[in-house]
Amino acid sequence: MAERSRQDWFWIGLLAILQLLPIVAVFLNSLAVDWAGTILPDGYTFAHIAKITQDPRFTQAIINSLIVGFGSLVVTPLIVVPAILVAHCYFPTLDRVIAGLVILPYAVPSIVLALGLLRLYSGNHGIVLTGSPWVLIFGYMPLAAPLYYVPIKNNLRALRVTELFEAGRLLGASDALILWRVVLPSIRQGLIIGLVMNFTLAISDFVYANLLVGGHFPTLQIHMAVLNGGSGRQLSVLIATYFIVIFAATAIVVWATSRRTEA
Amino acid sequence: MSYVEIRKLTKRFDTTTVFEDIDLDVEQGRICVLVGPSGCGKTTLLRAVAGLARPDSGHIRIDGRDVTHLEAKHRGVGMVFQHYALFPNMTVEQNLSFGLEQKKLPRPEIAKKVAAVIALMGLEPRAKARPAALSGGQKQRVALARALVLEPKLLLLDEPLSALDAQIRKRLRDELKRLQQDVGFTAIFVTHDQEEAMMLGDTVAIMQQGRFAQIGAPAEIYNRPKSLAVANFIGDFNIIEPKAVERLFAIRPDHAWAIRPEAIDILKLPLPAGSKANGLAAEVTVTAVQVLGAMVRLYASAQDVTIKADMVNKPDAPRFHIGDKAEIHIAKSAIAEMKE
Repeated sequence: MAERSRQDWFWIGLLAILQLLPIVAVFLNSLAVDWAGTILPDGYTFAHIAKITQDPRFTQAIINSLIVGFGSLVVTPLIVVPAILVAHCYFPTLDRVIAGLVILPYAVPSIVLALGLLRLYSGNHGIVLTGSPWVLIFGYMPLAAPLYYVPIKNNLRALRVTELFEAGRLLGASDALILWRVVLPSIRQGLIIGLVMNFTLAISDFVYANLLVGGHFPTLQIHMAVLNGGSGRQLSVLIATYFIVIFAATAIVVWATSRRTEA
Repeated sequence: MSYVEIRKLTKRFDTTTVFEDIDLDVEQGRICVLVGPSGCGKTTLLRAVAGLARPDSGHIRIDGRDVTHLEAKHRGVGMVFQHYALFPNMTVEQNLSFGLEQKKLPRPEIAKKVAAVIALMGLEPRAKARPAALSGGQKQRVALARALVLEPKLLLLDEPLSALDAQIRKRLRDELKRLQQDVGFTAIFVTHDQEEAMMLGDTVAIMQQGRFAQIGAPAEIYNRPKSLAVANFIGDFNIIEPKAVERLFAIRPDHAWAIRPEAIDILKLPLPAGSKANGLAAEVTVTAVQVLGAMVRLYASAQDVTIKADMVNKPDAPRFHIGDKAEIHIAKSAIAEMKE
């Protein structure tokens, strides 16, 4: 590969700075005493952070968001990933249907989907989940499905699954064992991407959280919206916290997944 | 009774018959090559023997045991796939151990067997590598090793060399033949390459449209094809229609003749004193000369019939030029009559 020239580095650096600028600004703003008319804040203080962390609603919002985020991470892949695998390996015709189905939630306006989910989970069909985190956890499932489907399918397409099953059967293994020992490790990358995106989706969504649970189960995003009318500094603290939670959670997901499959 | 016996085997997909009432025998320690154009049913037959496709009727016996309705893993067969089918997440060693682990062998024994087959296949430097890091030839060697390590009663190879480039293919083919002689496994080998079939097979079975057009030793098939279809598939025969034979040699046979180009002697006219044709002779005119390397291919015609004749390209062999008068000699034993 050709070495990057100085000019290349300049552009890469410029892009990186442009991308980081808003995040840095948010972090600075959350620490600023006053910030108007100058490039950098006039002074720094932890007062906003102290104030917001003393607010019990804030801690509750973080906990709620993490419950939804990790709840979604536990429930969604357990249902979506086996469905993708089984369709790919055994029902190629069904697979085409799934490919269409997974993009459906994005083709339908959010409000329609939200109302549909409300009807479904408000007891009309014997399931009552409204007002609890479960409605979000299950509500995010169709939204997260394509986030698993696309990267996992990419991994699967690179595998000759049918041949691997046949080779395994001839070597005396069951299909389940081949799935567990060969197919699953081979889609690890896609699975990690899916998990990270699923978590990000669950933790950063406002539209569905607001429509489906609202004040019953205020997540970080809902709390942010509540604070939006108030102090800009406090909102910055919230957004900075949100970034930290996302970074930390992504790191944990990546670390945990790569460890589990190596063992 | 043969080691592998296939009797009256029939396989249909919906309304199409892939093959019908097929019989095949393979002796222990021999390679039987199934060769034929794509779509002739050879791979499906192999898969039926492996237990990956269910035949509609008929029987398959391996080493005296009827395996027709057994699951693949209980048949004691090993298979090598065209695209290797190695487990991409496992190293070479892990790939080879996998089957032994399923047999619940003790670890030290697995390690011993794997090490032995790795040494046999010359894979020591790559033992810890994953398939993605291997070349095509190495991958296929691992695939072969993975099948052999289980010491199968029968090894099935489904076009194992066709995804490789020509040079590697030749080398691996030689290796496979040597390995078979050393280890003595019994194998059914599927290919569409007739040269590969001739070189590897103790028996060659030519399959066309779901049936065997001819089964025999390579030399027999090469020199005495039973039908036009076989002759055309094996390639490069002079096929001479009865009428043309009559014009050339003044004999009217009932069927067309197939004669290999190298079985035809071509001699410059005038013939040296005392030379006498052994078999049939006809006078021809050389119309084209092609140097193919070890061989020189001459096209010669007479009475509107064009004949291909090959001669070994020796330094002192007579040189022919276009327009030269010559005589062709064909031994009777070189003529295969196309009765089908």
